[in-house]
Amino acid sequence: MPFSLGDVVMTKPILEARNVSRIFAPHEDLIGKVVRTVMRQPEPSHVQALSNISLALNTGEVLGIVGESGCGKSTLGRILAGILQPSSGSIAFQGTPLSAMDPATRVKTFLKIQMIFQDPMSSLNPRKRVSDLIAEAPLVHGLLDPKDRDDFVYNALTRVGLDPDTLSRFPHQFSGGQRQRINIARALAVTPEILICDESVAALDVSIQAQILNVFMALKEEGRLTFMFISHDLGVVEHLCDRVAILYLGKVVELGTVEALFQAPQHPYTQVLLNEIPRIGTGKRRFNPIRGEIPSPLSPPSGCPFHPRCPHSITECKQRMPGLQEVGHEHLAACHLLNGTTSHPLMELSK
Amino acid sequence: MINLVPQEHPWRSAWHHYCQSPFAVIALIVCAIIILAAAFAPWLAPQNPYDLNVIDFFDSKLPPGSRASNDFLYVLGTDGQGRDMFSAMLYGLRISLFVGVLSGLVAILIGMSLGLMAAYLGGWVDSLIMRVVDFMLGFPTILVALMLLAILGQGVDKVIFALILVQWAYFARAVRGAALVERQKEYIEAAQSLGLSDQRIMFGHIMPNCLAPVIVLGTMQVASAISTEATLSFLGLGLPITEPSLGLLISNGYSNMLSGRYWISVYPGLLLLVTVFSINVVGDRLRDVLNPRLSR
Amino acid sequence: MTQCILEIRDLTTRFETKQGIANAVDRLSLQIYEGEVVGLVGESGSGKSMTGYSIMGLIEPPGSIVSGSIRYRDQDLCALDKDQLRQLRGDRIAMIFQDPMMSLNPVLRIDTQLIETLKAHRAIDKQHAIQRATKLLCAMGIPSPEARLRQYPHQLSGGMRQRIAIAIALLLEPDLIIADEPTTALDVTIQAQIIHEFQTLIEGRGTSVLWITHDLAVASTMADRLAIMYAGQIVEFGPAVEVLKTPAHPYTAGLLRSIPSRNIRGKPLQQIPGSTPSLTHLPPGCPFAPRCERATSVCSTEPPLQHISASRSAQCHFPWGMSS
Repeated sequence: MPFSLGDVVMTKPILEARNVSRIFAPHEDLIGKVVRTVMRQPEPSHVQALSNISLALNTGEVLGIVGESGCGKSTLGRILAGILQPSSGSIAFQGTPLSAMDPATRVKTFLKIQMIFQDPMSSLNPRKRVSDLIAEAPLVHGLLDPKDRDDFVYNALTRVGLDPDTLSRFPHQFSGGQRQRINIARALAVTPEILICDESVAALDVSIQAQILNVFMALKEEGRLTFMFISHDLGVVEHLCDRVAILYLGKVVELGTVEALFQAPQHPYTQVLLNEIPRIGTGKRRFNPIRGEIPSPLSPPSGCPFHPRCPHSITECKQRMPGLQEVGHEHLAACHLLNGTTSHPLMELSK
Repeated sequence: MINLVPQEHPWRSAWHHYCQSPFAVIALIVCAIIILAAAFAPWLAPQNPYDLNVIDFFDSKLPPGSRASNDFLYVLGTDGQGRDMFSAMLYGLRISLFVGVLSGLVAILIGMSLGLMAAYLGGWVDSLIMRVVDFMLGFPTILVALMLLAILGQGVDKVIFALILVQWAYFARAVRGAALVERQKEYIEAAQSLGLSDQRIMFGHIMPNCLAPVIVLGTMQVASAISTEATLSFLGLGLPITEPSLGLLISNGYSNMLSGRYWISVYPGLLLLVTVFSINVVGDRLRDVLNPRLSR
Repeated sequence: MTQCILEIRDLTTRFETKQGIANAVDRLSLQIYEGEVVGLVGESGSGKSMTGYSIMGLIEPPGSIVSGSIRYRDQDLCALDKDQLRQLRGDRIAMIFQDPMMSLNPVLRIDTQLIETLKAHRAIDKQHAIQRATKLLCAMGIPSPEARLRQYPHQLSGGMRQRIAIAIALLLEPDLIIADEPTTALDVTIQAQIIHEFQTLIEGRGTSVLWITHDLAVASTMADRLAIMYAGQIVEFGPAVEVLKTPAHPYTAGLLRSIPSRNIRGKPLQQIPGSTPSLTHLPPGCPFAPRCERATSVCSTEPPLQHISASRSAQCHFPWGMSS
């Protein structure tokens, strides 16, 4: 069911974020609050991690979420996986908002959305054996009969390319790549429909990264999973994803198919990103980087968050946040310069 | 595909690390001897100090090495009631250890549960528990114990109760600190994502990873509890005379110090010193070994 | 003829662990000339960081340099005593780490730290020291340097901290900078800025750089020559452009093939099977043989150092590019 302006949806979205915002405010206990009220101090500054994000994840696709520090991509992933609550807005699964579900159904729904984390070291409980890690959740939720436990774990490990005889070992006895496979096996154990991968290969060596990416691709080929792939690595995203969303300071600045976005990026930030990734083919080169720091989410710039660093900013950029507009087939970007036109001066790309 | 990184189990490598200090190993052996001696006191002690038939009042205050009328050797002399010091010390050690360890264990259970809840649930639960902890820790241990016993009266169970009450706060704070660190780790988020209940996460996932500070603190608190109980008994507010702990033995013999009959106080005192000291050395070494920053 | 700034010959750095003996750096030989950037590329456990630490004399027990020589100009660094090494370190050879907090003291102000570094090696008064520091920060493109100098590290962003760490390294105008993954933890746009500033500064001064990284792409934008490390050894060495276009060693080829952008979109990546061997249990002969598609029985013997051309070499029985 299409809901955002101009977003032509071919298949029914399995998961949607509707106007999701998330604020992080420092925790204040009762005494602190009282003191602050009595002394008439201002509210403590908060971080606007996500501002009014609307995004749809279509069944069977791989959606890439790309951005740098402070863009909110990890927060978005955690909200969609049910680990964090949105401050406002809602999440809908197969069209039904989660708030409309009763608690039992909501738990079942979140079980269908699983997350693969970044750090292979801290994402596995060091005190639990691999078989416990994998079998715990299915047993607790009644998806697994205790007598089938060993077979289940055996199959789970084989599926991700691990030696099933290692099921009684502890995480510290495995390498980083193997631990990431255990992570995947653990997530798959509850038969999810959506996998959210939060920088799942960022902490791995190049050769191991290739192996894990192949595991993801094999899972995608099986056809029963939808992926959301959060990464800062555009090369990986380009290879793996069907569509990609670029985030900057809690807002979606560009959204489209990988082909469209990588060949003809419309938003100045996307152009900068693509220009500034080191690539092997170009040889020794000098970068021409844009100036300025990534703004802190504690004090975001007015209007368009990118305007302080944007080489093409105009007056309007300082005043008003641009909305997402269609700039091509299934291609959206949020930039004032794209008002009414479908192309504008592009920065030189070195490809 | 197997290529496992051959690494030691963390507990085993901790043990090897521990053994690198010969002093700590000796302390551990001494602790083991003390615990065994206390456990097997009824069999090791040559005389049952509570059996009034065996004790001869006329044998009281005999110096070490003296013999009784029936040729029984008083290895370390006798006390004011004619009890063999060695036997009395063994039984006293038994009671001291019993009180110290039991109060420590219960304090750990209570403190750990509250610390885990404070760390995991956060919010007002955390604030409430921590304010209570701060309040408890604001009072000197001995003072609180004294006041409690003055109200409750004497008795083993009352002493244990008082010791639990003054100790749980230390554990709560230590566990909360460790649990807060674990809580940030991704395996907790994974557990949440997998729909596991709060209790399961707190006690099944976080708790096993918080054991290091509990072990360290636990050993030192046991030593502290033994020492506190000795103080209380010395001051007359602890255990009754019928169940003399080391502290009470020291107290009973105190008046004899000036008349030169040192053995009635000094030997139990030495035993208490050695016990508390070795437990502290073991705890100290454990803290170095289990400290993740030092070993990594 | 440009001078050779650093010559490493047959360096072996050994760690004695409970699991066995690990040669983190295994008979490594390398030359770095004046004004050039050498990229040292490898995955985790390859020994690239250990090479950097060995040069700087930062290896602590249970590790030690057991054989080989590291010559800076004409001095053998392994033969120097602690004081002589300390004089050289920071002054003639400087190091930048992945985590800038390894170079910065969190409780001291930035200006204090910069002045400290200057004063440790030069007879200079505080006024001149601050002037020099300010000039350098300006050259690095740090906005409002006077204000930055008065701040503490925790008040700065990650990228800014790394710039300060680089400034500390460049302050004494060393001949050689060892940069150990300095941009790995930074965002793409910040990484681009820092690489740009770094390049500007070293070009102006003719400083040599040993750029240690796991990222082939970053190395390719920075380096003149490239050394690929595996299991403590350099398996391939040569001009960056050539090594990346026509790799001679199967490991280099495998690494290049694993990179997503060099594969067909949507198709499985060509991966190197298996994983890095444990340094305590290396197979006999070539350490890469168990994972190599070109391996034969002769690979269980030490692979020779083969010279593909005057400037290229590979440690392999069957490198590409050799006329056999």
